[in-house]
Amino acid sequence: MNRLRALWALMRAGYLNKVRTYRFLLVLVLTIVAGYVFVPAPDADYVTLGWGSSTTFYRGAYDSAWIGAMVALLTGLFLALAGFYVVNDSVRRDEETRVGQIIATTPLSNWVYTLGNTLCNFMVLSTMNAIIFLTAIGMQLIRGEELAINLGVMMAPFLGLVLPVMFLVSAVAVMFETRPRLKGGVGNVAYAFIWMFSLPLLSESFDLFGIDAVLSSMGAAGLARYPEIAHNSFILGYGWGFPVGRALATFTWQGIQWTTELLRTRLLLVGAATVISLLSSVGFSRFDPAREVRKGDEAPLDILDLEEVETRPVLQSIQVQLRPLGEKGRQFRFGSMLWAECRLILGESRDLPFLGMYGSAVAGALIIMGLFLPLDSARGMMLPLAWLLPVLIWSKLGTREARYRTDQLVFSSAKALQRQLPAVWMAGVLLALATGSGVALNMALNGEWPGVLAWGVGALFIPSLALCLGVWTGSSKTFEFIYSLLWYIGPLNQVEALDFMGVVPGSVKAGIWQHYAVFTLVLFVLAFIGRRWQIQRG
Amino acid sequence: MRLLRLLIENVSKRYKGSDVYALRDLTLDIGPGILGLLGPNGAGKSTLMRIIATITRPTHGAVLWDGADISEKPDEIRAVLGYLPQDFGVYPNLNADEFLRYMAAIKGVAPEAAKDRIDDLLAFVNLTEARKRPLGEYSGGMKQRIGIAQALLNDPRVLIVDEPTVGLDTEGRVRFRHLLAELAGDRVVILSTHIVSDVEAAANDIAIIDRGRLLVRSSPEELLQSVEGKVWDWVIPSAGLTDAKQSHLISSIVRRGDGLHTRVVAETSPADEARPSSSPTLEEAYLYSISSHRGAGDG
Repeated sequence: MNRLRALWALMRAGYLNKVRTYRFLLVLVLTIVAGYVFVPAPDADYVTLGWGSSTTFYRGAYDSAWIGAMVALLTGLFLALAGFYVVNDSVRRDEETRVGQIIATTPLSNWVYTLGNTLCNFMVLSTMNAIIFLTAIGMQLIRGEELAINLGVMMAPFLGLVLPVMFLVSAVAVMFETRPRLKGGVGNVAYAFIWMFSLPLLSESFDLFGIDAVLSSMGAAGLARYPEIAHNSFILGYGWGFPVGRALATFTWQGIQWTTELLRTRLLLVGAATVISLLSSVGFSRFDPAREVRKGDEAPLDILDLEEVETRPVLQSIQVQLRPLGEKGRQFRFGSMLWAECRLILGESRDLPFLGMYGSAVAGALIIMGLFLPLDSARGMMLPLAWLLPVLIWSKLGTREARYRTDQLVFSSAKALQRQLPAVWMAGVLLALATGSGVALNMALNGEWPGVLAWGVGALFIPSLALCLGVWTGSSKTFEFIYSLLWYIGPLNQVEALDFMGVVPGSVKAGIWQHYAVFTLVLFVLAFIGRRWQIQRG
Repeated sequence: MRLLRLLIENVSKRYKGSDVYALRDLTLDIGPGILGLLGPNGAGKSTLMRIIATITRPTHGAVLWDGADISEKPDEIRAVLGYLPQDFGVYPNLNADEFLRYMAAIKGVAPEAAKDRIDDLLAFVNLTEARKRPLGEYSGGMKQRIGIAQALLNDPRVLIVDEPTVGLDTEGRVRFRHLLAELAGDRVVILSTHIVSDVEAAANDIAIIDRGRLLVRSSPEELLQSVEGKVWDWVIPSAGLTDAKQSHLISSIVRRGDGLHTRVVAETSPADEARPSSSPTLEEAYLYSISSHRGAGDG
């Protein structure tokens, strides 16, 4: 009974703490927008689920069965990624607020703690799920193809398909937080890549989202009505560029068939999530900083040594006269400020995985390869890699003051806005210029000056994005999440519109970099406004 | 050098979305020297410190430095400000040297001058030997000393220290008091604390605030005079302590062979056998001030 009470208390406190934040409100608004976007109007230039060609698009009629399943599938895919970043701060919050130290001294067992946090995460994601469900009802009425609402049929895919995935995401988030190597920035980036790379592989062997079961049923209904569907390509997700005025062909789909096989996979997910949640408790440091020290790091605090320093009879041994600073000493120099910021970001990187000494060696190797490899390879592979390596350094831009509670020290300094913020930005730009310098030189030597220009814009864009997101969200994970996605979809998958580095063939010629130059300016101005608000908000 | 003053004029602070006032119509004229700002937890001391340090804006009223409203022109005071907040952090992967160089750059201290200044300050706060250790490995007291060092980096004309001795050992505390006394001179120093002995040792001027209002502004001597004849030595049996605590304000208790030797702060003698004390302390004067104003306010 005590354990149950503790579990409930953990869930409740964590849930209330999460939902009473502006961030949650923002996510809710985005969730509602997502629910709206998931159900495109018949004449919209994009589609989300169906079969299409340039002349005709086939989909189910917008009734409760189709809208419920369609929105649920997209919600599952969307929240499996974005939801992770919404909830993966439960343990960190206890760590940063020092509440963890208090929790550690209570009889609460580790497994109750990790399970409680998993359930808390699940409640938060379920709330978002419920909001999308309500939005889906609204969308059926707004689109108006079928006004009769069948609550049971519409709710079933949310309960049966999405919630088990949300439970899994909740458990994985706690597991990431309880592993020293996965918590924080590394975990944030790693999760995005796991989602992007492993989902296609996983879906072949295991129907994680229930997509196969639903689509085969939908396909059968569609084929029965329109046999030509077999010759059209299937779309699930955001398919854009559909010509306005194309023909629309709809059919009626009865809803999901809850087969034993489908139910079995859903239960397997719940079981796997429970096991992951309980396994997270194994090896959990229980907020003991001494257990957080990683292999290869410096030895933990040498208590005896420090005591020695602290207890020396200081009054007798040292008589220090503080020399006055004088007017000559009070001269602000932007160079010193920039140098201090550079030292700060490099000093921080010592402790970051994949960075520090080894990271510098890798960055050096990437610069050299970027310089000497054939231009196409250098631009297509080396530059994306070189600009992925420092992602955990850039993601700290604009967040450091809040994260380390130095904001009162920094913001009470003269002209912090005009002096410190540009220096922070410039330090991020220098890092981009340095790590991408090999490829830039290569392009210059080959006379590829438009490419150099696009590269320069990219070097300005990345820190601007990081600084803006850092200042406005106060968290490094927003940048880690968004940048990983941009990096993967744009430069790596050669999507021209998202090529902020100028590495996709044809994007430089198309002038994509000009758009990013404008974005850069907007982002920097937004960062400036955000920081001014932080300093003046009182 | 021109002596500058800090004027706090009718300052109130109400937090957004609530009717609770952290400060109410507070007025103070602060000149060079050390002002000890005393008050119980939640009295509004830290809010006042943050307002003077330009972190927080007052809801009403103004703070003027050299005639300029610091809400309108915050850089006027920031350029000459040293601030040690009650709750602050450091960058854990930097060592003391690197952190202070960073803060010096932010505060606009020229690099050559910063080097000497950092050497002096690290020696002063006794962290010279630990200057190359990452700050993440520092104990609470050592971090507090780094906080003190950063507040003094720019040789400030206005020094605001909020609960500066929390976490310091006895020697560190004594050392800090000496430093404040040395620094005072022509500077404005505001020392906010709930530890009366810190103020007793360092301040030449005292302001007591409670529930956001200024209760008393006086010199330590005047404050002591206000409690003269109102502190009583009273020996009671151990069994009578609970009753005595409920009915009187007891400032100290010492257990002796003949019973508990208490010191009671009261307008009149708590009992026939109680005797007036010949040496009231500043702590007793502070307690008297708080309790008499609360009594008047509540009554």
